[in-house]
Amino acid sequence: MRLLLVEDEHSIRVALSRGLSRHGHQVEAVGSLAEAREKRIHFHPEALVSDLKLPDGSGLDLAEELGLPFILMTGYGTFDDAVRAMRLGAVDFFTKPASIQSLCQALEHLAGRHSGGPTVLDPSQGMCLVQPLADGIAVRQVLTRAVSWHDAESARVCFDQLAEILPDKMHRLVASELLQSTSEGRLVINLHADSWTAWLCAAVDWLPQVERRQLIEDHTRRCVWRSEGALVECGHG
Amino acid sequence: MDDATIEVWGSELLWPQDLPVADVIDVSQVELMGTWVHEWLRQHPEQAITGASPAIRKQLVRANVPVVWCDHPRKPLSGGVSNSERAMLFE
Repeated sequence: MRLLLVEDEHSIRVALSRGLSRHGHQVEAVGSLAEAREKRIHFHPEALVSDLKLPDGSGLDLAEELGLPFILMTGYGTFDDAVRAMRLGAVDFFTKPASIQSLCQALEHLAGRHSGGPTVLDPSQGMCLVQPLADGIAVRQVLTRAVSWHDAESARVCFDQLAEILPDKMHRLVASELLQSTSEGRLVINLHADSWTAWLCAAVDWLPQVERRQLIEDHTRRCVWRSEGALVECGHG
Repeated sequence: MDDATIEVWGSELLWPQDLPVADVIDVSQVELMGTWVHEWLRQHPEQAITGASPAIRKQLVRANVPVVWCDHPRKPLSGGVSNSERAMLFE
């Protein structure tokens, strides 16, 4: 496949270019949006692999401008970035460092060589769900979320946001108890294929309420509590 | 008891909200009950509760929430199985 690679960091650009070439792709690598626009005229790429944040703009804007199937990479991506990328038709959205294997897998999906039903990719990231579209191109939905709150009202806003993506009622129960357990805090949720873990960073005491712990223990198969300072990890199998 | 008012609480009570009050609260539809409901019930001590699933009952008992269990016969579900019978068999 003819790939236009846009990455402003030289060493990463070289490594990705070589890696993708070794897997049979024809790669033209550039470091900015301006270079990408110029390269596109003569190279006629079939797909775009781009960093999100570039010196002269956003890789997402470039993808929308060029109208190519695209994969985005970023070290600073947010959930909202991933959602916007998905809505624009991104094939995939990787948090750096993105492995060559992952990129090639995504490119295979793009080429339509992958078939089958929904697949969980990269369980170590715990948040991957691939849903084939009608034309065989898979879109990856990012199922990770970080929320912060500083009062009861913002905690409720956070819960409403999380409730939209948490797949089952037990997840929603635990999230609601965590959000109500402290006046301010931060919660990061990664959803794995078969299990999930939640981290709570609290400005004040965290989960001091025995009843909350009992409730969560009663509703989860196994609950392991560990603490490191202000961090709490709660998980079940 | 025939004149007792009965209110049915909804399925997911995860976030503080206004709850309807009555002589008897039917919690048969409640699937998830957050700890904030414990606090509500403590502010309404000796509240009569009916239709609790085993999970909800266990939760309230474990939290020492002072309620009055009132599993009087309710209108049975279709097929002639009452809510408490259904809970006993399937939960």
